[in-house]
Amino acid sequence: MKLKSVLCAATAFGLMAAASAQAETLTIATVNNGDMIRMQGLTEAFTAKTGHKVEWVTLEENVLRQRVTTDITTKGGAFDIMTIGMYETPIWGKNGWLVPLNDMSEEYDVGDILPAMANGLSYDGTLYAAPFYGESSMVMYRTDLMEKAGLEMPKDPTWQFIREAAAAMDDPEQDINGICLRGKAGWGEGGAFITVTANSFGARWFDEDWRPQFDQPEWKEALTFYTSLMNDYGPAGYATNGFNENLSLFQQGKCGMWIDATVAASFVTNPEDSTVADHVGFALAPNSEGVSKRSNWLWAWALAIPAGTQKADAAKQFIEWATSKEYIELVAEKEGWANVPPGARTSLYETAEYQEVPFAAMTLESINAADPTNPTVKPVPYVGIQFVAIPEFAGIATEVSQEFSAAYAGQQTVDEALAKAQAIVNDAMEAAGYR
Amino acid sequence: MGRIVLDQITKSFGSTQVIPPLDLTIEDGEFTVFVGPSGCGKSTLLRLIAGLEDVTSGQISIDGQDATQLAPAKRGLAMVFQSYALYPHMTVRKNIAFPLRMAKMEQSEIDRRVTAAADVLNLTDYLDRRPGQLSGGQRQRVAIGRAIVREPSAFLFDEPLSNLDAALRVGMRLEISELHERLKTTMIYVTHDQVEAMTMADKIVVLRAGHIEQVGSPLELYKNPRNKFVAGFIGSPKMNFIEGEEAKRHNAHAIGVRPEHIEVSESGGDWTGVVGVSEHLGSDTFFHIHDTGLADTITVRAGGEVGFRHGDRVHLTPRSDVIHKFDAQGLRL
Amino acid sequence: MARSVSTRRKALNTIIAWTIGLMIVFPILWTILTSFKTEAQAINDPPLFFFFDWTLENYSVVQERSDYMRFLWNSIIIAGGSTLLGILIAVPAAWSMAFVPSKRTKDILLWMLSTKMLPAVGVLYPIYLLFISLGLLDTRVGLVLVLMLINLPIIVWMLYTYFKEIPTEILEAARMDGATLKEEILYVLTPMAIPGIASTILLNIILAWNEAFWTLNLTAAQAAPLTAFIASYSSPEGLFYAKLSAASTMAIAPILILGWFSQKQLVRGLTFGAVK
Ligand SMILES: Nc1ncnc2c1ncn2[C@@H]1O[C@H](COP(=O)(O)OP(=O)(O)O)[C@@H](O)[C@H]1O
Ligand SMILES: [Mg+2]
Repeated sequence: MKLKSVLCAATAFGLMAAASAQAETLTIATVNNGDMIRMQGLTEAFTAKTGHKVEWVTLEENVLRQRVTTDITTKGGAFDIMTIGMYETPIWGKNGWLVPLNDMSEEYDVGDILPAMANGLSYDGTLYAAPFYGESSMVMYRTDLMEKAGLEMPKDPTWQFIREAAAAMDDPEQDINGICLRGKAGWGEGGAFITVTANSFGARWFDEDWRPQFDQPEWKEALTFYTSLMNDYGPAGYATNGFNENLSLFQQGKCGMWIDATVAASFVTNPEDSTVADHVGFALAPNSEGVSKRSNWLWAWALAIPAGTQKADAAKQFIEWATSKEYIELVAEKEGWANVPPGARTSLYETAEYQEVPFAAMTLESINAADPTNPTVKPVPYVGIQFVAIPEFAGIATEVSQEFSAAYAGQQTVDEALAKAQAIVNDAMEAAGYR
Repeated sequence: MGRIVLDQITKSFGSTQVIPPLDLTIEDGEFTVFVGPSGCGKSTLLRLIAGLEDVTSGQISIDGQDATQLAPAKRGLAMVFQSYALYPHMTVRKNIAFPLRMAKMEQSEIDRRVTAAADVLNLTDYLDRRPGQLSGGQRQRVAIGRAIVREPSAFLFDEPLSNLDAALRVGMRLEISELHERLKTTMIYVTHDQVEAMTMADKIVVLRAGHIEQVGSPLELYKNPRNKFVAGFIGSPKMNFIEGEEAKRHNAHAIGVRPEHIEVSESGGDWTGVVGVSEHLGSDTFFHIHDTGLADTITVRAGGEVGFRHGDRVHLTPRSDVIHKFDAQGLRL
Repeated sequence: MARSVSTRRKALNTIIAWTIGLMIVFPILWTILTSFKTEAQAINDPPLFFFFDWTLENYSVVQERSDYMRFLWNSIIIAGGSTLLGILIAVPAAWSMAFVPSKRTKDILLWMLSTKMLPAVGVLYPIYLLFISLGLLDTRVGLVLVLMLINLPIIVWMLYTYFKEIPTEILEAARMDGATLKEEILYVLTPMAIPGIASTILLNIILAWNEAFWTLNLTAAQAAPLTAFIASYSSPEGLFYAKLSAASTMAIAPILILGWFSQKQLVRGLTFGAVK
């Protein structure tokens, strides 16, 4: 009884507060990455402009995903803005869990958002999340080692050339691995990487009837190529390496090449953390000779408004501010052009100062080369490049990537891993009612 | 003041009946000892009286009042436990004062009584120690002190001496007897040691499997045991039992002769046998005689100066006026 | 005569004990060391032990970025509150189980423990919905209640085992001496069980302090404790090990200090058993 009356009083008080005060306090769930942290430091500018205060809840990516999913499916209303990825956005938008962002202001200039990003963050033509920063993947390589090996990296290498270069730069005596790639289990880690690699060998996750395709020759070719490349020229224990492990190896000069997210470019070229900052070159992610699709992915961390919030207007104001041209200029002014959030707006890449950033052009080109609605050589029934935008994917792909990692670690053969993957996905899709 | 009457009380734990219907009256001021082999229900009976266990059926009255449903503290009884059950975190003073504190007595009165009890029990120098810093005998005295300060209408003791060594036990036995002489309060004392029973009791209650086998003064039980069980249990060393031909001669199924009622000599007697182990106590000697053709061993008690050796052939003569006769059911004839 | 132990034997035992001890402490030690490195030194290969340029930069960055005191205060209230509430409920419960057991007591104890075997995720949704309708989401009261309930089985079990060690006769003596049930628990049982209760409290504060599922899933900005503080420094994209270490060190420091000052009590409680 008491609790109830206390709660009633609290609710009444809350309503009063909401009615009397114009300024809101927004609660924003986000991930821990450099650009987001930088934004947290700059929110005073937003508060000064609008009067709204901001409270941040920063969580590790997977924890965040679970936390935010719980809240949104139960209409908990714990968050007014959520940081979500390209994978969740179309799914949640379809379920009606997000407030559509179709009435942004004139000066916000929705048309300036990179088309690949806008596509990936929309469902049925409606934008559900605004990209804060976006990324693709590309080749980062050691210019000094390539020169020493007498090779020149083309702008658009093939996997066959990558293998040749890896062989040439590999130098166990100097503790240099020809190439470092993700092998760690998890749909967003090694799972994402092997999926784009498969795309570039002409493979796909499903045919038009949602039948898994791991029994097809393209998958076998891709996985066989990857394991043999890594077994020959990759670091020991690569089956457990993810983004951070490879970043650490590359920064210490232990990799000839690294193919990973474009955001890594700013890390490996930062002289404070990287011992090889002056010797990094960039190229498009490779494809297998004669295959029309490259192995570059597309990802964005975007801001969205859960349908349950009471503060949708203030939340929209924040999103407009945080993903605006104005914000990019604010960061450039305070922290320099190399530190602005990349990959979201066309205008950024038209800025003269930004074009001087060494990895800017290659990042844009990689992003533009990615087409989430048309990710593979053969037709597919899904959207997404390094993922399949269906709710079941995260679980299925994590299981599949575990089988692959076991093959990388030598615990099973490529054929065994593929057979298991086929069975796992087949069962899961049947259980989920796709067929 | 302390008359306790048990009327048809029973106690069962689950489906096993530990105390079958039992009647017993303990007169005011009497020192009553419950004795019997371990597991026979002595403690249970005592705890029923204390109120620590509920009777399954029957009635308990204390001083003429029905106490069957009363809480332990309301029965006006004090108990001394085998393990002493002192409060380890309290000093001796606090331990003794605890029941008075619970009774919300005036502090000055508490002090007076604690001092007096400590004086009687030789604990004055130890009042500020904790139980852990005391010897076994001292702890026992603290437990007794805690019981007497309340001036209960009866004391209940559950094997209070069995954790003490032999010498201390004899001393404490005397102290408790003296205490009883002085206080003249009803005491119920549980033991499995018949020596304690014999030396301390006004009235002995012999129990077997929850049954009362016999009630009486120590000498009554010694002289006129109602059955073989009581005869064997009371008296030390144990009574010798003889069956067969020799018993038939006395028109009995079995006869019993106490060791102290048998003459032993070299020259001649009713029975013969060979000396086995002899136990010399100084004042007495116990001979264990074999090969008598009557029983495995016949124990004989002789004077301390009698000096037979192992293997000597001897003659035995029972005192005919104290031969106990029993029928096939073990009842006295 | 004490048994004589040869010096060699002693030296060997000492070495073994120290090795095991160091192995257990090493992760914590390494975290603390890393928190004083730069990010580049943190991932240096070969690892750097003591000879690096010690820096406090990570701490100042963390301090600047997050409001440590707010997280700390939430942790203290949630861990302390849930433990105290749990103890208040568990003492009478454990008393009745230890001293007036019924036929079902053993079953109840096992059943209580079995609730701990259910993965927490399984009940996340029901509890989340309950929290929404009670308005408990992101409140300290809500977390105090949940963590109290989560840890209650352990508190009851621990107290039960401690109480079991207390000879029934002592409590019966108190009853004979005229103590009411309340006086019996207050003046006799509780003081005797103090070491046990203290170590139960301590262990549960530690458990609640480190509880990272419910504290992360039921909070947002207002009631988030130090677990959320640590989680905010973990990053799958970017190497922030030194800062993460600094945040972790700041998060575990209070509990380490508490543990350090109460270790005597804790050891005594965990080896409790000689009350007689
Ligand atoms: N709480 C109990 N639950 C079940 N059986 C009990 C309990 N207390 C005593 N008993 C049983 O009752 C019988 C008598 O026990 P007790 O009175 O302690 O014997 P004594 O004190 O004569 O050695 C024993 O068989 C014992 O096992
Ligand atoms: Mg007994």
